[in-house]
Amino acid sequence: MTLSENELDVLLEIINIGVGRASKSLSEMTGSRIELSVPNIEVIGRNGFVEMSEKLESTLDQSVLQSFQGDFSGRAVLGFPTRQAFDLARIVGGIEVTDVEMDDELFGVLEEIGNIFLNNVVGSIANMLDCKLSYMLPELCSQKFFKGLLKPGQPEKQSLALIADTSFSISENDISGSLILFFETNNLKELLFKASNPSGIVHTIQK
Amino acid sequence: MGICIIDEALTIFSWNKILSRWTCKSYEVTIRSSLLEHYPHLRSRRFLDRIQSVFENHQPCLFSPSIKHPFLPIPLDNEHSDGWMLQKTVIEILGDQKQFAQICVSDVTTQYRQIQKLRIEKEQHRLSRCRTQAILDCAADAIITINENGLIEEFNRSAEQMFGYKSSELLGRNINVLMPSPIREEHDGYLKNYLQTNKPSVIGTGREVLAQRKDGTTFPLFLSVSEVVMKEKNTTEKIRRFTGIMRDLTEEKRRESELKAARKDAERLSAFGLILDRSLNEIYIFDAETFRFVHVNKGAQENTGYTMEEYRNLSPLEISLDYAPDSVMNLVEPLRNGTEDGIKFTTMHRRKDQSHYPVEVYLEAAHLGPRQVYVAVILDITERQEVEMELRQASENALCADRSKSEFLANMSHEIRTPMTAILGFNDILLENLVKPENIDAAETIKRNGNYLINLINDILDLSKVEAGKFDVECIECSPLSLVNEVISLLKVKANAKNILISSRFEGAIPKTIMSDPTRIRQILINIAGNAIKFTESGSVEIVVRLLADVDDEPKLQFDVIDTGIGIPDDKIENMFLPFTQADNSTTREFGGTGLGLTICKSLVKLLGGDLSVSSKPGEGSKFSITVSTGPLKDVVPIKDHSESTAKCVDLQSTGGREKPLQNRRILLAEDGPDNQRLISWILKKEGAKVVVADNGQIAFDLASKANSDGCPFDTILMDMHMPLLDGYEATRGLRNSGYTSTIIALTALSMVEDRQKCLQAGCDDFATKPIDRKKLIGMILEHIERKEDERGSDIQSKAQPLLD
Repeated sequence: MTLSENELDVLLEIINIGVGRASKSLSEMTGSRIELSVPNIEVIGRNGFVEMSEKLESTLDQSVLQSFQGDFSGRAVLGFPTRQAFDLARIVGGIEVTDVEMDDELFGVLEEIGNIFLNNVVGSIANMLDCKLSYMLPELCSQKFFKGLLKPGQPEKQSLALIADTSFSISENDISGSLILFFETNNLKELLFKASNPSGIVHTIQK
Repeated sequence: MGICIIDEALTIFSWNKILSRWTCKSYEVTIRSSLLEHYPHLRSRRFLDRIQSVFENHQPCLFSPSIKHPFLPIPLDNEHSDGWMLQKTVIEILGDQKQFAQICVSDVTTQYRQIQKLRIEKEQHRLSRCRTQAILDCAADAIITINENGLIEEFNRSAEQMFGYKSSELLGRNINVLMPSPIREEHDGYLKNYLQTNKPSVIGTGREVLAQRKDGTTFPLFLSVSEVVMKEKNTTEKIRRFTGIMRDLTEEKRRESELKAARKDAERLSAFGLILDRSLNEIYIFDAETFRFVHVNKGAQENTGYTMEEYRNLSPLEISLDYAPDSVMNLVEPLRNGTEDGIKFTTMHRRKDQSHYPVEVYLEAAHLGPRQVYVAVILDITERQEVEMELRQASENALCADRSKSEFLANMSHEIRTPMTAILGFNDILLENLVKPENIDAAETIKRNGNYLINLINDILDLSKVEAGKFDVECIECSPLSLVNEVISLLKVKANAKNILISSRFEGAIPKTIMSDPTRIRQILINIAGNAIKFTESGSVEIVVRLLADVDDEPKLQFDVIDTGIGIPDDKIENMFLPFTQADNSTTREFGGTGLGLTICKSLVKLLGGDLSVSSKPGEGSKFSITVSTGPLKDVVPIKDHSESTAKCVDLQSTGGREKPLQNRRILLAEDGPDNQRLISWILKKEGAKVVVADNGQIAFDLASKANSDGCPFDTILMDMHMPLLDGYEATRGLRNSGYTSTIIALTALSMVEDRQKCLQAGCDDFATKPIDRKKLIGMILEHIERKEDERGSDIQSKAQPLLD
């Protein structure tokens, strides 16, 4: 399944609405202003999968994953390189450490951040597309997750994969990570289509 | 895990036991009440919004533990912490109904506390590690830590610098790599031994060891080793580590040995400094490299005014005026390269007050322990130089005086001889014209006395010359035969008058000619034989000549004068040769004589390379033996048959009656003294010559030149060498230069060899000394005229030949 440019734009729009909400939530949590942005989004074609998974494996050391299913199913991942993950968890969690080493406390903070972020992103998509989803608890996943993508049969499952750069801006700190959306059902296009018609979108925004 | 169930309105529908225990709120209290009632803080956006999203979107919510915002503030007061429970809270929508949500609260306090503690521990450890590292890095000493197997675990920066390795090169390697053999091979053994026995040999104590750098060089270091024993958690095993702190002793040791050397130097110097101080000379010792003085003795310090301390900053360059850095190096060069053991020289030294004094320096190279030095012994030669100068002055004065004396004598002789010539000459004229016997007697007396005076003057002059060492003897060919015959013929008259037989005898082969001074030999023989005749009343005087056998390569001719006279007593023989003595004072009165003759003869004979000796028997006679050197006789013909020994014996007595020898000869006499003019003119005219007189050299020159150009030159010019206006030398030279070839004979009062040479060099053909010997002069003139005529003859002939062709 492929998405047209138009459809991608719409999707990006939807995601950013969710990202905006996540921003608010995180800001409240920490008491300091956190700005999030997802400036663009890319489709990863089947051919680019292997290359992409290798790249993700090498760069994203700490990731939070949340699965969802219902009207459409898939997985959402928010991933960071260790340094970025460390800085994010430290700044947001208010934990003073000088060593670049993730421990359980830091993992916990990362989990919550991931939870907030992904809930809002996927939730936003679901709302806009007028779909009902059920979610699994967020889980921390390691680099090995991306390795798993190479398993035979898996590519079939991922009918659509989207990748976006995310930017967390907290006071003077800029922390960049990656957002990956895996859609395992083929109906995203028609859902988008449904949402694209004027009446659908108006309806959604009002909500 | 504390669990409760709520609905969208946050009403509590379930509250489990654990939660009750934690919150101290029982089920009864909480059921059907609002969560917000119990926990109003949940009203915050953080919680409300998220709880709402659970119900709205069916999304699970996760709250991470945070001290600031625990979901449920549950106080804790156990020993693990004081404060609040740290909770991990998950809110999920419940079941199919989706009206309820389940809140699960997990107590993660302990876990998180541990994490924090670990974090703090880690940080402390890190800081501690930093501090230790800082100390290790800053330490000036090398700090190396090894494990039980001797492998290097830590190697600080100083160690890197000390040994020349980078720590990365050595971590994990055996420490013995830093040790030289044989210690290297033994170290592992030591270590093992210690680990087993715990007997420290080096632990806890410090000692000096030899270590080896990366480049292989060894150096001394001071090592102290301490052991660290750590017990690992949860094990019974002990970890043993050894830390060595090392200090490089190279610099220390170098300074120590320098100090020791300096101390030794000082000791040595003070030891023989006392000895040096005893010397009155100045003694300096300076370093061969730096040229600074190391030690000077008391004499030097006192003489120059510098103290020993001041000297330490000085070098010979400051003490002497002559020395510049280059010249000093050149000076000591022979000592440096070993060509000389010591050098001596004089120079000028400068005192502290800048005054100068001359010195003589004796310089030698030496060793003062390991140090190469120069030792100079210096003598102040101010006095010596003064004495030398005085001596030089005295010597010059003496020479001056001597010269004046000689000049005086020469002048005097000329001054006396000239009038004497006139006296004797005119006396001769008188004698010719006197008739009365008593007048003749008187004239004869004048003559006798005049001759005596002349002889006396000659003797005095000769003697003074001989004494001054100015007497020169010639070395020309002469015939001993003719010499002896001449002497005999000269003395025949005297001998005949006393009826004494005078003869000569030649024994063996006599060389035809010898190289000697005929004039002097004649003088000596005349003197001795004359004396023999004088002191013999009757009998004979014989002159015996023989050639002495070669002694080395110096053949000598011996003349014995044997008489049958009164003889000489033995005790008087010595005194005979002293000036102005005769054998007996009475003899002077009886026999006359100047008393100088024998003295002169003895000196003359010595100058001729021989000796004079006497043997005598009073009453019987005496024998005077004279030897003279003959010069080399290699090519000389020996004559055995003496019968034809009659050499040219010019019997000048017999001239009367024959034709006058100088008949019609034209002679120019250049002479400034009027008496001598008259005298010599008379002599010449008597022999038939025509005489023209010139008063000075200029007139002589003009007359001679005119006569020459007129075509009738003078046969002879007699040229007095000392004349006013133009002297004889100049006139002669002038004539010769203008091409005058006729005979010029010099007349001179000076009789030294150089004077004769001067005459000949000026161009004279011959010379005659004043007072003029009449017969000699005539003979000389004749000889030269005849020779010139012969030459001219052959000249004309040879010139004529081409014409004939």
